[in-house]
Amino acid sequence: MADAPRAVVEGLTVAFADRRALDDVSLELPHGAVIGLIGPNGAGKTTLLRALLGTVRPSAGSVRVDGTTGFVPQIGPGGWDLPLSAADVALQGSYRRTGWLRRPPPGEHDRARAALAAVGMGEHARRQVGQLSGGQRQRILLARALVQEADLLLLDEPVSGADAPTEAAFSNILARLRDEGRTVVVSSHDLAWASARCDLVCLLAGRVIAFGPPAEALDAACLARAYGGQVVDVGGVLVLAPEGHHAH
Amino acid sequence: MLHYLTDPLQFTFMQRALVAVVFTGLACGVLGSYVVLRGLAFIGDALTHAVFPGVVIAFAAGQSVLLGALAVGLVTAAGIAVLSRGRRVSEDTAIGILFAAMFALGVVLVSSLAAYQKDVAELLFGNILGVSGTDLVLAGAATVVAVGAIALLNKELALVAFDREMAEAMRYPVFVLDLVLLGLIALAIVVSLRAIGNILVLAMLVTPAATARLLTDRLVTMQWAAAAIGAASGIVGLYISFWWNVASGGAVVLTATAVFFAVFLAQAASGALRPGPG
Repeated sequence: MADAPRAVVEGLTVAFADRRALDDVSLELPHGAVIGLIGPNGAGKTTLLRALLGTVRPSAGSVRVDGTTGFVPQIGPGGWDLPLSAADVALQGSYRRTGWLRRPPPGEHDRARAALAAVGMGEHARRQVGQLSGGQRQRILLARALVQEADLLLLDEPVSGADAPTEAAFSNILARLRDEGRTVVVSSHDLAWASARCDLVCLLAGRVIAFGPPAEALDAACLARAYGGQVVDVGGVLVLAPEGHHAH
Repeated sequence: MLHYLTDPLQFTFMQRALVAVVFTGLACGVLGSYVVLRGLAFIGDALTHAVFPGVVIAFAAGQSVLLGALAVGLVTAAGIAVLSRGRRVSEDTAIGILFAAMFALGVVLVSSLAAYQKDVAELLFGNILGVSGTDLVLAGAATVVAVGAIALLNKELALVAFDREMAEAMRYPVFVLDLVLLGLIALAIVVSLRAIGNILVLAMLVTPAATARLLTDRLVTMQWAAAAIGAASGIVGLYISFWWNVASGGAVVLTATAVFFAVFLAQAASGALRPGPG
């Protein structure tokens, strides 16, 4: 494990025409960690992921990433009715290595097959993606990100509303990537999931409220600052009360 | 019976027309697959109308109308892409503005050239009798470029169609790829102009590809099937046009439409119709 951080965010501010999504965010993301990005709606979680990806331009501050970046989008793309199979989508993760004007070589097809097997979608490789369930689609997108073999993997809300096999596949694979020294950033609404599965949690509400191990970052005082009065202590477990974001 | 097939081939215009509709079927089938998959029918319609002033100018200047259409089509494709890039003008609005304006320009040009007004119908509906050797060479070259470019860029174009955000995250020049796709659609329109005409090209971009999508769940198979259906519809439609003495563009388009409904109804009848996108 190298000493230099995987990614450094310094004084990052992202302002859109009508609002400021992120305000003076500074973070150092270490190697070999699963990092939960937690916060209420509009906290800037997706914006921070996009800034790490490089698809959102900072209004101020900087983002530096050491290595390659992979991505699993939130709701997923809109093109599920396209005539593509699960294997085709997983293979997309190899396109940058393959380069322009060329077809992915057999080795990349092997990688895509292995990635589909790893997320438990091996037997669905040849199915058209539109015929897959929501959880299966999320796993296909995770397989594609695995094929990218990125050093920094960003996942936008992958476990919200996921079925049990999908949640298990994600958690196992994220732990495996961490053990390989990769850095995984997962945005989520799910406080219980973050407490159980993440090494570090960044509590976000436009700015960084807390960043550290789950026990510290998700304590009652920090959560109250991030969520206002919405956090309720139910038998020692902190849950979000109103607005339909019930922790289960 | 065979003379129904061979007799028309004695005429040079018919030989050229057959080659022209095969080019049309190939180019429109392959490009039309992306028109259908990305829901670009409105853009396709806009481009077909937008090339009209280019056709008029080239016609009046005695140049190949295909060259005129090509120049204007590429400019319009770029204009749509640039205008719709900003958030302040939606893509639909940008297309609506440009497409009507370009067609209006064509109408104004035609009305100012009194000598050519009798040719308006030919410009709008094509003239299969008027396919020149130059037109064929241009249409053939444009077909090779359009189909070749899709073959080379298929994986990137499919990625953008499936998941634009991921394509951006992977550092693909998504805007340039959009521009290239629009330019290639313009090229397919140019290929079709002489045989099918300005107004009906859209059908050749949409109908064979939509038919092919009903038949397969594989992208490349769909593109080949669309090309084959388009070319076959062109040949059959042209024979119908010859023997029944009806407009060739209309006959070709109606043939393609008949194929679509035959496949659609056959699948509905066999219960194989897939549920719509979820």
